[in-house]
Amino acid sequence: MLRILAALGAVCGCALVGINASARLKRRRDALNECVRAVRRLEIGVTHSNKPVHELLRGCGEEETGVLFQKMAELVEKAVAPLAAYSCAVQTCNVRQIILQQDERVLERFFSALGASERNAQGENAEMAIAALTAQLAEAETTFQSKGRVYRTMGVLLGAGVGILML
Amino acid sequence: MTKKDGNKRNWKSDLLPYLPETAAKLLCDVDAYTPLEEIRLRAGAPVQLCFSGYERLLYGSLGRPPVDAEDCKCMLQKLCRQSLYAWEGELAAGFVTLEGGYRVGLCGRLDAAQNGHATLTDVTGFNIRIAREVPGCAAGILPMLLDAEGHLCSTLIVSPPGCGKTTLLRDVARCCSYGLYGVRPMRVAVVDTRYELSGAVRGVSQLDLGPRTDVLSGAKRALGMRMMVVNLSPEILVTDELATMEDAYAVYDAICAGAVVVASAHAPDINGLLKRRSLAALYGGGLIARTVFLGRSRGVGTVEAVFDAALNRLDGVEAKEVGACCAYLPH
Repeated sequence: MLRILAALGAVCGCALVGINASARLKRRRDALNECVRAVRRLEIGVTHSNKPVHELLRGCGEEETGVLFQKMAELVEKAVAPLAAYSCAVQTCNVRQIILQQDERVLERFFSALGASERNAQGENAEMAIAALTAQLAEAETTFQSKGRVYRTMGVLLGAGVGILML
Repeated sequence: MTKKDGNKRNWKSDLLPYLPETAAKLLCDVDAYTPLEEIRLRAGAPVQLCFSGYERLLYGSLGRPPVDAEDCKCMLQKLCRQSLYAWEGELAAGFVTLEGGYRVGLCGRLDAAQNGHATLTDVTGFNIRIAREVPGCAAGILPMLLDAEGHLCSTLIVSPPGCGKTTLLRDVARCCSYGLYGVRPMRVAVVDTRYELSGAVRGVSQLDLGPRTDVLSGAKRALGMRMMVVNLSPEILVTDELATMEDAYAVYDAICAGAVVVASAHAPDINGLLKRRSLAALYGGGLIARTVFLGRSRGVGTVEAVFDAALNRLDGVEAKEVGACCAYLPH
């Protein structure tokens, strides 16, 4: 009886690890999607309104990145530069699990110039960031489609294998 | 400082958050209620404090300049709330106005961009003018601005820079709006090109201009005056620093449309005033019925002389001090 329970535990555990790894890839894809939309919103706000950066940031976040942009908005309102606010928010909001280093570099370049120049330059900065993020998003989508399924299947199969061995 | 919280705020609480750390530390020692008129910061130079009648230079530790170019860059970002694009128009005109009506004049490199708009880049100098509300400073002068029937006359307040024109103008608008000192309550329209009269932040006036006052901030003066006359039917139109022929034409149109115009202009004396073509034009048709000269002979805001439409000096106003407009107020 105990063996059966242990085998079931192993199957479930391994399957969960696989699903979790797959979910992380999905979250990265979703987060990048949100980032693209957020940069697009910022671009529109910057080029077509007189609202300061912190007010625009407030309306940017969604599910995955909501806390990040909210934290950034709070910091920028307290006269922290957008790049410093981003670095601080990334650390406090624990989004490093979903946003990879290469994604971060794109966002850092964007936030280093956010609000620091006139409208045309801001628009160009946003367009560059959107282009880079879209490329990252395509890569994240491909990774999720290919590796995500592999991780899930491998998790279940590995669990099944361990279970059989235990029995 | 503002109408919201009386006199609790002062220039230190309002301005220190914007200043570079070293400069802010130096200014911590300055009494918040001294008659400070301007704070000037320049990259690689000491902080210059201009008080009424004297000035002080503040150096950093070991005589080093407390502000460098990088500090100036950060300060500009803070002044613009990390959003230079939102202050593009003001930056091109060389100023930023802060909450509370503090005007910050900027200096640096003027970059003639390809699209025809000049942009101020590499800002390395700031002149922060301390805004002060002095309610009641127009009390002494207002009766002189009335005609025989008790109606307010179109008036030009004239002085060299820093003599209290804006402060007096603001109080005239406030008194007319409330109906104080012998003036009946009237609809007042303020065209506040540089946000100094109202200290408006995103359209909301930070300084008390009275309950019957409409403020159009940020608009070009002539355009703003025409818009106000057409759209808001003001009885009194108030604006700061007339300078161009276009402004003069707008004043002419407004007066002909039945509004009373109270405005200010830069000139050292009556001769200097009449040498300015745009302003002299206003006197040709007798449109300006009162001209008030401010000076500093007995402190900032001293009324040196008041003239009528024919530029005859009115009696009993020689160097009369109607209130030290920008002087120290005990709290």
